[in-house]
Amino acid sequence: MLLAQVITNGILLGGLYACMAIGFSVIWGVMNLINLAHGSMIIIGAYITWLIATNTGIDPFLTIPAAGACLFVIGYAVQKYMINRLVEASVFMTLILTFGLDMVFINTNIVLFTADLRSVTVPYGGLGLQIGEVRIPYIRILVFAIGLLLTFGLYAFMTYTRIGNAIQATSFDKNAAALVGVDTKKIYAITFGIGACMAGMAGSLVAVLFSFTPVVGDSFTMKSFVIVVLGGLGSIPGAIAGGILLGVVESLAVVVLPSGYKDAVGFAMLILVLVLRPQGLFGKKFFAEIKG
Amino acid sequence: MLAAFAGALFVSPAAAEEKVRLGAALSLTGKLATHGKNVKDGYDFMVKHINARGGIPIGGKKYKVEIKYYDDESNAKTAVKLVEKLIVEDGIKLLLGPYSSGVTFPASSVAEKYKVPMVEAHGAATTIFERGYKYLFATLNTVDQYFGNILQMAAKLPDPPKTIALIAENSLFPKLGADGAAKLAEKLGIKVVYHQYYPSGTKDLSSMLAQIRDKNPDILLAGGYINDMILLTKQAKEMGVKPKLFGFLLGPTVPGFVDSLGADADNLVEPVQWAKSMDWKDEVLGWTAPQYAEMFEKEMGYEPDYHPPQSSAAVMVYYHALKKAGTTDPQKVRDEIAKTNIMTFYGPINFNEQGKNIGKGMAVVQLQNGKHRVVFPSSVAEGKLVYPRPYN
Amino acid sequence: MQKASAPTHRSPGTGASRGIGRRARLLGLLAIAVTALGLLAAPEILNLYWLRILTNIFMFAVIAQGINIIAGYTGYPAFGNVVFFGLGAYGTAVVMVKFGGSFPLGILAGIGIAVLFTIIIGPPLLRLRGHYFAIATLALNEATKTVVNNLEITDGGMGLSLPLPPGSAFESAGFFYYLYFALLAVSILATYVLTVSPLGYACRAIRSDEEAASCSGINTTLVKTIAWTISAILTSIAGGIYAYWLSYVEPSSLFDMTVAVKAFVIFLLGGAATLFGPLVGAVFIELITTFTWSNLLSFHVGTLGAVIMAVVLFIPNGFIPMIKDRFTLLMELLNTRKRR
Repeated sequence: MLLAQVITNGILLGGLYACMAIGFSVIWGVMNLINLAHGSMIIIGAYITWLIATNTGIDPFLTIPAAGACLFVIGYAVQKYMINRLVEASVFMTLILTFGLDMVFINTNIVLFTADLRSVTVPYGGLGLQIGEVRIPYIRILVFAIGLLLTFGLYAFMTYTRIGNAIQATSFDKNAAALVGVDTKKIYAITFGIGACMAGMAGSLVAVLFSFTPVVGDSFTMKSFVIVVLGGLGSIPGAIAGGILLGVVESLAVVVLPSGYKDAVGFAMLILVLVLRPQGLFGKKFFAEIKG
Repeated sequence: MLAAFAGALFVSPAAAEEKVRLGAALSLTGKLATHGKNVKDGYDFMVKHINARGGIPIGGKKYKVEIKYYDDESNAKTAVKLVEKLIVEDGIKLLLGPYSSGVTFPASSVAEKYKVPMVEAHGAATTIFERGYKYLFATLNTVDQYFGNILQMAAKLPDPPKTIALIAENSLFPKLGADGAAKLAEKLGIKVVYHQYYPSGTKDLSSMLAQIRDKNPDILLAGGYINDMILLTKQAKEMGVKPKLFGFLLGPTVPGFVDSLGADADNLVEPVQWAKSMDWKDEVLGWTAPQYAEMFEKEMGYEPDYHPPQSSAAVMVYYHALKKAGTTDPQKVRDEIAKTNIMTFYGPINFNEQGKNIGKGMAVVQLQNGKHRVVFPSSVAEGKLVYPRPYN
Repeated sequence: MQKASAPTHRSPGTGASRGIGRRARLLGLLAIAVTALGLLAAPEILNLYWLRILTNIFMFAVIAQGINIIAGYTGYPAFGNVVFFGLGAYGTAVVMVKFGGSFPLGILAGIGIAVLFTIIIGPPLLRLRGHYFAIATLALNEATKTVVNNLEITDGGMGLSLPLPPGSAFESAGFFYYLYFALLAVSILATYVLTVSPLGYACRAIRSDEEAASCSGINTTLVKTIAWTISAILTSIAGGIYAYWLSYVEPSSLFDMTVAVKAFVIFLLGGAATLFGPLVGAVFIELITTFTWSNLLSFHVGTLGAVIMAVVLFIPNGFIPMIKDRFTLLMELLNTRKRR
């Protein structure tokens, strides 16, 4: 049945979306910083995967750690040497700063890789499972599984490691955290690095599933916005729920409305959620108030 | 050839080099950058060869050609600003067109406002020519002929297809192409079972393709630029879409398409403005289409689809017009361009009062084992159409 | 919240150092008058290219002034304010192309649509604050873009080609130059009137502390909506003129996030909640854009990005407050000397 296929597509896509949005959510939730360069970081991750995979023939999924590591370094450096300088950062300043950063990333990518379309193909690309009327390509299953895995990995990191706890503490109350000995500046740098790392790894997945050029990052940033608001700021389960919800709604929208409105649906949901329930599905209510 | 050689001998090296400058805003970066590069290669290739022969003979002297480029970033707004910059700041009064209908549409308004001729080679949308402009000329055939050729080919098959699905990007050229195809299909008795547009920049077409699979059309025609078409082909395979005839407004012959898709690109069809197998022969340079293709591949490093010669032909239009006008005055050159009636390696060029090239027609190409073969019309066909498309 | 600008904002007519204030203000007015006269004469002196740059500067200054009203003075960062630019442009385009209307009628249509938007969508959206409001306006812009992309009457993604303005290229360049100049003057005047009016005080009250403002009897929803409506009207007129100027409209170039951010940067750069901030910011950014375009073709996007980052890192309050501070310092020095 068409509906089953469409919903399946949506859920599978949701895994990738969750992975894309989680880095964005963490940075925003912890540092109150909306990183408009997020999409470009995803693209940089995609390029790293593309570079390695096309030059060495390694399966692109194996390049995920490399993309993650590179982006962590980039993110850490950006935060430490640039964003950190914005002491009393008002929300617009960080928005503008990261937008400027986005432009620099985009231009650098164009110069390094040209604006040509890139994509990574794998030999098992067209193959998939056939369950009844529904067709599930292997690639999408892999992307979904890995996307979720990475997201859970981050959740575990945040909950069970010292650094993860320090990050959470800093997000709840920066001063209290500093009082108990947390080096907040370092934590911020690490957090941004982690956010970038997640973006980079999501980028590896993007390289396999889609094709990309230096300028397509902005649409990923917008999607991350929607997902984070839907799912709730600062909540990792929220990002997963939001990602899957967006994936399903987008896929369904194509069937119900003229295809052109696919993107508008996500934005309409965003506005509705903001107006009716700004903390999203899983966000904590007080987050919405403090961070506003 | 000999005359040009002799001419080169007689030009004294001490003489000051006269230059005629053309200008173009092109998509060197951005979504259309792949296409923009092909276009620039076409322009540069032509300029190089014209200059190698001493240049264009204008009023008794030979003028070398120089093109000033600006990057419009595949953005219509930027292109408009740049075209104005070319005219007003750089003083260039002879323009070549940008890439894509969406950009050519507004860019040509600027040229018209300043009364500067623009010879474009990449804006096929019919609406471009319906504004009564006097300074706009196009070497290529208009979008209605793209899918039109495929449908006519389909209608002539022994067991003609009965249903058709259309999917296109929601922008000028692809939308007009798909709309035109829908109308023509109805006239030819082919039922339109799906006709939808996707927004520019869409990353995922799988839901739409799933719907198309459900309708099981005989023909699937897709319209958009290369990025989307590669995505669409990949996802069509993933979704198990298996039309008997799978056609693209553009894509299969564009450099990079086959590289990205390998065997998945086989047996796709595309309407083309030109193919290297055609037997055109340029009246000035004496080149035939295959010779153009061979020389281009040697110098630029890749086999040209129709975009480079289409661009080169625009430069040749200026060659002829400047020579006939005997001056670089834009108004006089414009008048000569309007009277163009020439034969080039790209085919015949003859403009009507709207600026459209009515001298040439289009053909349909099918990718067979990674090679382009012209399959329609029969007068220029090199091979037979493989129909229905085989799936393993 | 606008923490950055609160300490540097000076409301007219206050301040202990009135003497300095008056002299500085007279000098300032003189400078403005001279500049204005110069600008009025520009079409006679400058070539078409520079005329176009100035016209662009005025246009961006108007858009930034619109942002200034809702974000600078009222404290609601409408990141997606460019939506009104697009609505104005499309209003004009549709009226002129599909209904054969005149240009003034088109502008009115654009204004009408923009006002409808703020009246209907304003109150619910203005319930959000800070980050959330900013994102909501961005989403509004994107959603509107998508809708316009799909409507029949706008020809969707194909765009509309407007009739060319009459007259020679030079005449129409002059026409648009004066039109935008007038619009800029009107927007600065409107902002000035706003600041000295009760409405303006209400806006600033909302910006400093919305709860307190509400408690003191201000109907915050009404005030915010009116402020946003004024902002929307100015922006939509800018958009309407743009459509006629460019002779072409297309959703992605009008509801463009890059324009939104650029306008926002200009607003910040000049100095939030200042009268001439947006103009100063526009001059700076447009000149840089033009310079990088001509000379750094392959890295102009990145350069602009780097400039934007530098501005935010090093001139976070914007130029005008920076100049004001230096200037006041200078005046104080002069005055202290005089007294001795």
